[in-house]
Amino acid sequence: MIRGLTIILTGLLIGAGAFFVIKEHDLPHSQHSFAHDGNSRLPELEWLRQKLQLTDKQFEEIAKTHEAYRPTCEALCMKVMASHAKIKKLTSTDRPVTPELEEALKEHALLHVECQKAMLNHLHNTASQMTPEQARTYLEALLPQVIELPLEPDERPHTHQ
Amino acid sequence: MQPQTIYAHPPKLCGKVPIPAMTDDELTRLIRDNSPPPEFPASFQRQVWQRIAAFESKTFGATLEHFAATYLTWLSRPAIAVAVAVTIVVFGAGLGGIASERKNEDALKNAYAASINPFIAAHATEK
Repeated sequence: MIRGLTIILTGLLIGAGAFFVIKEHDLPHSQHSFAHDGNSRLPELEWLRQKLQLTDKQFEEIAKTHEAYRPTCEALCMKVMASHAKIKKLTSTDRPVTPELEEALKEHALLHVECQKAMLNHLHNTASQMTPEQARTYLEALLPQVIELPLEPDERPHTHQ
Repeated sequence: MQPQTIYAHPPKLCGKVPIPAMTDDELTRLIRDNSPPPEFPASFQRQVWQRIAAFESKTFGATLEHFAATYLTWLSRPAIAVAVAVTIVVFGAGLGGIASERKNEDALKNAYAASINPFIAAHATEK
């Protein structure tokens, strides 16, 4: 009986060790691995292809939409960086809020809204190229990140197609 | 105190002398001293312990202990022990694989979100 208990405990220890080792290290690349970029030149889109099981045609259309959105995203990114630099420059240890700093902070807030609007439009443009089920999965995964709020089950998006 | 009379009218037993009156305590002592000790069969004590063991074996703790002892003894056989240990290790590795896949999936989802979010892109560039 002691031997049986020892064998079980040893198996459990090795099993637990295998769990943590494999969890912390990436699995070897396989056909179904998320790490493979599928020669798309857009590795960030592979999550969409695998998670939503997009067809090749859908993926092609969505890749075009993604590339069309890129200039908008890059322009906003440059504005954000400029706004951050301005705020850092105006931030002082002597006075909490100067009128210039307040103005810069307001501009930053408006820029934040502009970015969120651009992202929401892009998400819905992308979702319009999917089936309703795919679109729902896609929006459920990404909307909370864009609006920076969690969505309750009854607040989950529904698509009109 | 007057001794309590057992017989109001002591009977005459074939002309013999009737039983004298006794107190309750004297009568109790008389019965105890003259009663023969009970005789038990040789197997009586063993039977009692068997009945106690049978009752105790039906409790949950005893059943669990019996099951554990039987299972662990069965597990001591080499072939079975190796099979069980390998199963546990494979199960653990499988769970690790699933957890790793989920971690990869989250990392790629975040990469996609970063690719469409100007704020995240700006923060990444500024670092």
